[in-house]
Amino acid sequence: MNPVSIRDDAWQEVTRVWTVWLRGLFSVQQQGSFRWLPDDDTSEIYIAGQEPEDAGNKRPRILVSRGPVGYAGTSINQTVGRSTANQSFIFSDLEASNIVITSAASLGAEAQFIARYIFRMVGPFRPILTRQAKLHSILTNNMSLSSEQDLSSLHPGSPVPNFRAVQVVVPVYLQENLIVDNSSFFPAVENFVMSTLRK
Amino acid sequence: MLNIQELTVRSFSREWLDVFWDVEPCSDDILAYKFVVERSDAQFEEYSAVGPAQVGQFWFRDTSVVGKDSIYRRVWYRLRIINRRTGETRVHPETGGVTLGAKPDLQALELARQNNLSLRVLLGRMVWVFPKRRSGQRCANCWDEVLRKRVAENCLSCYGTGFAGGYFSPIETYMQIVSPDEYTPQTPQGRAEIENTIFKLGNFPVLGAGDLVVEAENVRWLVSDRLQPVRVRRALVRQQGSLHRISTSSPQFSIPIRLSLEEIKNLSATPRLLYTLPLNDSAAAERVLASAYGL
Repeated sequence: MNPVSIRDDAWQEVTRVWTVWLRGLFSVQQQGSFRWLPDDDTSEIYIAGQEPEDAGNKRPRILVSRGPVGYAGTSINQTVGRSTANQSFIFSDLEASNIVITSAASLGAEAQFIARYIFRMVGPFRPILTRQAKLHSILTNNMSLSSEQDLSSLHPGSPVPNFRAVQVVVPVYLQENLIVDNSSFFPAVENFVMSTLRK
Repeated sequence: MLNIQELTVRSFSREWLDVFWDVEPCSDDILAYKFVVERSDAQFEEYSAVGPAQVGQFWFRDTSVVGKDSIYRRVWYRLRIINRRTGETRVHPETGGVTLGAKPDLQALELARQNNLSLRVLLGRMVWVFPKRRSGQRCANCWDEVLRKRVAENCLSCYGTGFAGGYFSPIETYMQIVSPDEYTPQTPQGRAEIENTIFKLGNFPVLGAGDLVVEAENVRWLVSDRLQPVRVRRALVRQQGSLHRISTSSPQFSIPIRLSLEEIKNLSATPRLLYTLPLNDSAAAERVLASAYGL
């Protein structure tokens, strides 16, 4: 339960897995059909996480981000398996969120074409995405494809459409299980709180 | 040894850059020399060959340029001339390199010279500019290759740039930094300390967003994302823009300034003339300025 590396963050890892999947999806395309390549200069599409630092002006682009997370409240008091011997228990619930895949291109038609392709491909790849991202479930029946959004304010001044986006929103669930026991971590925090408040 | 008359970079393609050079008229056997085009992302260092040595050819097409989707990314070229018989080597230009840009005309050169001079003797102060790395080896410590961004703060491997090493070697120059307002607003996240200001600089070194500027008082600035290069017929004459002061907890504050104790002790960032120039004596002032101009 001690602080862990930022790379161990579960939702970060989910985002990474979806990004890798999208790269795989587009790396097998024919040349001229938005084929993704590791080299940005030869790749026909740019795929990364949210707010990448090296996107430049590359379009079309696909960005993967996570929506807000909330507990789904799937167990009584979010607790299972309380032990009468040592009062340890498992804090358990599902974290509900969305994976938001933004397809942006110069033209809205192109952004929609890419977004719709991704939208259709999530279902067939649901097992591998669930397994690799360590998700509890992916609700493909509640997915949505947004309307076309005008992002030209990001590149003002152009006399022609130059930045349109369409989003694919995929509801996903992540299982959270925290074993709350009498190991040193929880008593240490509790002792700190109690001793500080007594002063 | 051959002398190069002019080294030029041109291209009307996004796929390559053409490098041309002319040799000054001479009596040497031109075939006794070979030319190697070298390229760098920094104006003054880390040049490496981008093609094989050429003999009797005064043009090279570099098809290995990366970053084609960026408008502002610059690459610099220089030419290495090697005498095949003696092995003698020289580079052109001797310092720095050339990039895709217009050749400054006489008016632009004079404007740049006067501006640089006024910064050096009157308006500016000595600063160190650390050009930010914008390509090369990614930081193994904090760069996430999938998400394409940094995922760890205060990385001392890349100093917050995402590229190993973070910055190129510092370049000493004179810059005018306008005294900033000291702004300490109370925010929901706590009290902040914010300083932003504007600067003026000559045509050297060519700045980019994210470059680090260090003053003699260890005040450190990052060049903001909005620059105003002033060009005359596409030739850079001077630069101005905004600076954002970085906090002492920023990784850029850990970049060492490699000066000896003696150099630190005797450091004088303000032009020395301002401590000695009798500004109320116009004749003396003219003498000093004439001497500075080399008249």
